[in-house]
Amino acid sequence: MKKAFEIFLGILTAFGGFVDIGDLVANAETGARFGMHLAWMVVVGVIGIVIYAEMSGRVATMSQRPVFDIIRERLGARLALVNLGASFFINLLTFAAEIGGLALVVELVTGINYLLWVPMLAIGVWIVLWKVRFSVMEKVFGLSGLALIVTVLALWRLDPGLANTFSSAGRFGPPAGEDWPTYAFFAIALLGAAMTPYEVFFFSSGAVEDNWTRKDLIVNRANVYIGFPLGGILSLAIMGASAALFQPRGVSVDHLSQVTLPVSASVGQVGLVFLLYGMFAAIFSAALETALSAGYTVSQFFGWQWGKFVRPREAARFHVVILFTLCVGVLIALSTLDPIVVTEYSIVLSAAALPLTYLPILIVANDPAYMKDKTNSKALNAVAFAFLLLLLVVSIVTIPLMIWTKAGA
Amino acid sequence: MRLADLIGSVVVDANGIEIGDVGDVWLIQDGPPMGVFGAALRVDRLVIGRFGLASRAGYERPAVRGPVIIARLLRGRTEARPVASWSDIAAIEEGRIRLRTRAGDLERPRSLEQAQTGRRWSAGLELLDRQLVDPDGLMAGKIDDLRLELRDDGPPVVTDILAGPGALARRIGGRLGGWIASVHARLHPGSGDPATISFGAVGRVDDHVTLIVSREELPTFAAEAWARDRIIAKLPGSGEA
Repeated sequence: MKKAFEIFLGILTAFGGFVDIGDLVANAETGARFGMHLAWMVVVGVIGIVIYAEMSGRVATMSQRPVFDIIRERLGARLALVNLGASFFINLLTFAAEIGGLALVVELVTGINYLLWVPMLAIGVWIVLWKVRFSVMEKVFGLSGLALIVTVLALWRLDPGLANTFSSAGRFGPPAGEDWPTYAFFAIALLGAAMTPYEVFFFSSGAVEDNWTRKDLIVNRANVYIGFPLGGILSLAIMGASAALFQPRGVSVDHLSQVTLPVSASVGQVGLVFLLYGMFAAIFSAALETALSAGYTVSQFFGWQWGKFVRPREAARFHVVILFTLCVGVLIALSTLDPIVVTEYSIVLSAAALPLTYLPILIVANDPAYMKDKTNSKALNAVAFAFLLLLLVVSIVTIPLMIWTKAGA
Repeated sequence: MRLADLIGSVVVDANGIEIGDVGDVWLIQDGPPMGVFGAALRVDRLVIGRFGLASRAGYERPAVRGPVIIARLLRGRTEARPVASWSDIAAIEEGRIRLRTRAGDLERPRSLEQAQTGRRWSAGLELLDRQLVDPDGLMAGKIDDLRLELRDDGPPVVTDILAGPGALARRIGGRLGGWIASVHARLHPGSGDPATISFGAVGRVDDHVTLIVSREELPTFAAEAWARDRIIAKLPGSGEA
């Protein structure tokens, strides 16, 4: 029974990556505009993150080396510093967006302007990062995020049998009224959202925080095989419910309150309460994940003590980086930049840097000096290599495509 | 001298022809005894070829095989690189190493072969950028560089680990590296030298480096102590688990 609760690192990581503020809105927006024409990309993204998160967790379990240690050891000081700069910047932007998004959820409930909630929620995040044990944190927020399953119920109520919604899922290419570049841009945004690097930074460091050893490799598998597909299913449910409600009516989605409409229209008040609770938990998870990732990446690059498995005074610089991220994040959020737009940009920008993170993981997962007998199988290498090529293509076309399509406008 | 002074230098042969850059330095563990680690590391070979991803990915060790295409691509760039012994070197200048040997006469080993006199290490692959961990399992910085002591009677010996921004600056190089170095020098009036950890404090080297000295005794701890005493300790509950 005890082991059954050890899957929450994966669930927390996946919720923070798949149904955070940017993705909640991006999925609903994609559903409203493209129906399920892009659903396949969510599936591709889930497979990609499952493969690489499993590897990163296995590397961390076998060698106690989390992802940014590996990046520095394989890319060297200079290139790893480039990756650190990009990752830290993206983490900071994403954290700012999550805090803003969290405040928007509270505004939906209370009606009080979100800007007032930003500093209070940041203090809440800080208290969790400062005081709450890692294992408690992952269980509380992972479990609470499960309330989002109400979106699956909403999709079922709106389209029993799912026949209409998924009739478009098999077709490759944009629906009428949308062009190929925009379609490709949204596809990249979905892949980037599924494979955001902070998920592997957080997950592999979490494996060290949870003190996984060789006998926990099965726990590592269970975490990725349950957590990320669950995140993917929730993404698809939000997309599908939005497609079922909005696409026939030609409504476009650009605000968080619209994301709640399919649920309140089909499941009612109780459903809405569950949804808001789940959204709050998932976005809070993403805030924890990005703030911790900022601390993990910087500390691991420089070799400082990191982690919540030691007292804060024993990992002083790690906690200073987290505090810095929190303070700057709050300032960005208070600048009234639209949190949803900020995450959409940060996801796409991070897509451009993906190979710098995933290549070192793939190389080290094949190195017996780290892995002993637990190196990658040939089949896994083949799939992982195919994904690496995909990420390479994505990293090259992302920014030109963003400019070409005016970020999907 | 530092390892970073060798890595990246241009190698010129006896006829004045440029052969390439120093891509890696192989060390051999057969020097005078140095603490728990055993025999000291000495410079054994300069490996000529760029110090890029290919050199750091580890495919010159035959045990690392997958993924096949990446392995083939990167191994092809490290296989049979020319290597120069210390005795081949005529002069070391700034950014340039002159050999007394002709390029064609240099050895070209297929991979990182073990020697009979002591264990051979790839400095770039197995030491640089590795995590330092103290006896209590607390993290104590990275190997940002190594200090080499020149000897009259043979190749240089690795005497110290250099850690922290003062050492990292030279590895990063360029304008950013220069900026880091100048900030470090301002914060450390006097020498401006990087934090130094004697190699005699090394206990074991595997995928990380275990030291036999507590991190609080190391010069790399100064910044951590500052952050702890000035910021973190002032917040409530900083000493609780």
